[in-house]
Amino acid sequence: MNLLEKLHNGLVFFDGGTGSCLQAAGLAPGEAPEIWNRTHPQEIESLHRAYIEAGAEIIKSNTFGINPLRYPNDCAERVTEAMSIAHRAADGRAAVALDVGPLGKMLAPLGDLDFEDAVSAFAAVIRAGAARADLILIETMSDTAEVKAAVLAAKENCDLPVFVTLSFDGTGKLMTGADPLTALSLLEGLRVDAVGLNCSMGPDAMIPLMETLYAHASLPLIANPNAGLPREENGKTVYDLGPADFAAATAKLVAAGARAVGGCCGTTPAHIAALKQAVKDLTPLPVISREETVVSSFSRAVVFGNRPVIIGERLNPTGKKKLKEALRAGDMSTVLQIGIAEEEQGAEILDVNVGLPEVDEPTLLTRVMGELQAVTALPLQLDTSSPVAMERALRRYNGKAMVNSVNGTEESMNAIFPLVAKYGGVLVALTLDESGIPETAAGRLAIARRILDRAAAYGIGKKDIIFDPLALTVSSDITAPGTTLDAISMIKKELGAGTSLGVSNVSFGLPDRETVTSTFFAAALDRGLDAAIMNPGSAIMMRTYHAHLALAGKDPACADYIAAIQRLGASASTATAATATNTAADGAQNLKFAILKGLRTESVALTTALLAEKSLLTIVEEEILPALDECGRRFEAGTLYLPQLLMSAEAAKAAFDTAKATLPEAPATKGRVILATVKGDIHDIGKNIVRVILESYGFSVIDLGRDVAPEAVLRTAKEQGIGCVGLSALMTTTVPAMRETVELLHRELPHVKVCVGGAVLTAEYARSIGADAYCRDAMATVRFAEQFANERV
Amino acid sequence: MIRTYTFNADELTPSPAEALSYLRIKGTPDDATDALLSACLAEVGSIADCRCRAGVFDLAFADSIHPVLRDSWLRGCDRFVLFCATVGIEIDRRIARYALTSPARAAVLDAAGGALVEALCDKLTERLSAELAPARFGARFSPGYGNFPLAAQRQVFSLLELSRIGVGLNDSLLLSPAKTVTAIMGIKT
Repeated sequence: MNLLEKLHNGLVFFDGGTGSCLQAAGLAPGEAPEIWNRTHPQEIESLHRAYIEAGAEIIKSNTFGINPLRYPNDCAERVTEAMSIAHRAADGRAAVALDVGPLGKMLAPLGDLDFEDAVSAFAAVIRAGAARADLILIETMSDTAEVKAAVLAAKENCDLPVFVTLSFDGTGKLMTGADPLTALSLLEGLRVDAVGLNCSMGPDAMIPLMETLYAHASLPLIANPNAGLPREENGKTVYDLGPADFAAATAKLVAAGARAVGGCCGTTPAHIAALKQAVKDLTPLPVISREETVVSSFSRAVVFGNRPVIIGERLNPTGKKKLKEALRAGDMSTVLQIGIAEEEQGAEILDVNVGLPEVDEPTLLTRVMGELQAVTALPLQLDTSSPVAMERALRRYNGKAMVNSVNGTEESMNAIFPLVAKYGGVLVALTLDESGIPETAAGRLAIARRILDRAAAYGIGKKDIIFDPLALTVSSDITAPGTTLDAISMIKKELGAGTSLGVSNVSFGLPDRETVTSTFFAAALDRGLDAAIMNPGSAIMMRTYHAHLALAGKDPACADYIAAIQRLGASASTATAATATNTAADGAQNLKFAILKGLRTESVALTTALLAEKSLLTIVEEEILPALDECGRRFEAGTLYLPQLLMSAEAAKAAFDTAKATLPEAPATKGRVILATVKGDIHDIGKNIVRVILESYGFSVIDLGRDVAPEAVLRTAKEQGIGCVGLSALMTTTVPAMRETVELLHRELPHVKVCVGGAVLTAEYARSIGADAYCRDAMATVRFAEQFANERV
Repeated sequence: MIRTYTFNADELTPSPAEALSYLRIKGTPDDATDALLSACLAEVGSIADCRCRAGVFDLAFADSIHPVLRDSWLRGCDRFVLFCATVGIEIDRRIARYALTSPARAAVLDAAGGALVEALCDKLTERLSAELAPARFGARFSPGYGNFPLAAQRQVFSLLELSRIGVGLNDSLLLSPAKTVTAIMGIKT
């Protein structure tokens, strides 16, 4: 019987701690346990043997701390040595787990270890150790990105079973924010063979986490707890649970769902022997194949089926000029603002589509995805027709993504199924094939059935597929909406599968589209639609959604509906709101005052009112600019501080955007400026402040973000024909990157003017690195831009 | 031995004056700024994840961090404390998010986060000083301060095994999360 069969049939026993046992044998505190593979191989072998004699059926190789980042010269050799010792000790009596621990360096964006470098580092360990191992044990992981890198390395470099145990903290979260369900969804998506918990706390604290895992997992579960909590006694670390107490407490973990049990820090062969004695007659809870559809990010899981899920559709350049321009220029702030707005409007998942003919889509999709994951915890739906872009993004996505989309054509299924089988994900499957979209609901059901069958061959189950039966335009075919609605019902009833719909299409070509779309949306929800790809910024769609939940009995006491209407405003009270606005707007003085005071909402309302009588240009010249100038002067004089300046800038920008939105054509910008925080520097708050102030003064800012390579600044300046660049750096260590960027720009584009700023810079320093100006604050940058960015585009 | 300490943010008392000084505000702020600061101090408290690593070392060990320490900052001490304190990554995420939606709030939250990590350093010092009583601590100083070069951050990072509390150090010697402090204090017995 192989190990996996054994695990599915009953209990399996791991060994216990290594470091704490070696310290008892003389390993100095602070000395790495793996050193002893070389200096004391006999002691390591004896410890392995002691565990096997105590009843361990899986022993962990003494390789936890070995990786190429710690041992760049002889990592492989060290792994091989450890594996030989374990193999010799096991001698066929126990399985040997190649033990893989964290790299000890943080992955980007927290640290600067690139994801692929992490994969390579783990791969080096796996390649060196797999030949002598019976399984891979990736353990004590507390970062979902790192554990994903480790699992991919294991899968790509051996065929052994992969077990993963995670280390949650006292709040029940991983260091990077995932709860057990969130982490589980990622690992099940990656097709590991068993998951569980180790280290960080004693067995008692693990019980609720194990219960949560068991409620959702379709895999065997592992528990390797510490021997309670560590404390210091006479300079030595001791743990508070002896063998008997440890065994009694760990038995409760078996009752909660664990079927592979052993120990971590502080446990000894005596602990394992006691544990085995205590639980040997217990029957573990069955491994159940759960049918739960879950997508996740690094810290949040969304479970389908409870109530319909809103997927925001706005991050898609089709028909959106501003987003198109932002994507082409690499201006991330505009892109991210759209995503954040969707979240605030109620989206639970964000669709991300960056498909434009002239961009490098694989690179851009991966970048936008990464930047979004730095500012929102919402799971993402990766939306691209390019399998290359899909793979690049899926590989790096931190969580279990939605994959938009596959369809019933051979080409699509052959390209997309392998990606989901490898990286995990929930597929959006369109019910069309080589012959197009069937005209009947039964035809769409047949395609759905075929997609399910084909997916099963790749190990992709029904729970990881959501069908989109395709909403077509009612104005061109009056029967189309009925067919789509019937298909929703049939897919649900016949296949028991989930459905999603891009609902907006239905109203194409008709006046007052939202009325048609929202009515169709209500009908689809009534048929049991599980998710909708829609605009959460549409108040009528959101009202319809919340009304549906109340009517369908999914909103106890209609509390969510009432809260939503308070947020969205009632559909009948629009006139009342307009009157209130007019009352507030009693003269020119007020908008200026509102901006000076930094009152954003009031500024928008006042601008709306003023637009009835004045042109945009007049409002800008008579109200917005004078207010900003006064703020700027007071800031320069030291009588007004940064937060107030920013609040005023926000109010001014909101007023400006409100006015601009009424114009058919975007007004001429005052000039364009590129901003970037230089390579190696990740602190960009100063640059962000400068951006806001520049924008409030009417400049267009292309914000390249932080950690920006010199070449990227040059490329943007060249491609966009921009002559004014602002660079920021916080640390002395990143000033060389700033110098490099300035030099590159001046060499390649001599007409470009560069200003620099940041905590460690001075005017003299700025001169010495060749900058055209030193700007001590945001206002200084405005003055610089007024001088050099006064182009017309 | 090097230990991990965790604290609840509600045990900490970040100083509004400290936050104002990061914003270069001298004197009394206006009402709007004051209200924003109170809100931001409450917000950082609600999302903070306060973790520390700290260890006590013999003076001889100081050379392995940086040779200047023994004859300057640690003169007259027989041991020293090396520690790291962080208030966690969620504050960075919020700052990045507000930078896109409300830059004023981003700037003030950044300052509030700075004040919070200082308060965490104070709380940790209080705890350590109780553990090591009656020994007294000298001044707290960090890599990059005076003649203690920033490059020593590398030694501090590996010595304290900071990845255990989710702290990263990049090639430019920036610590992540942004609101993270490493420091040394001499111990006089």
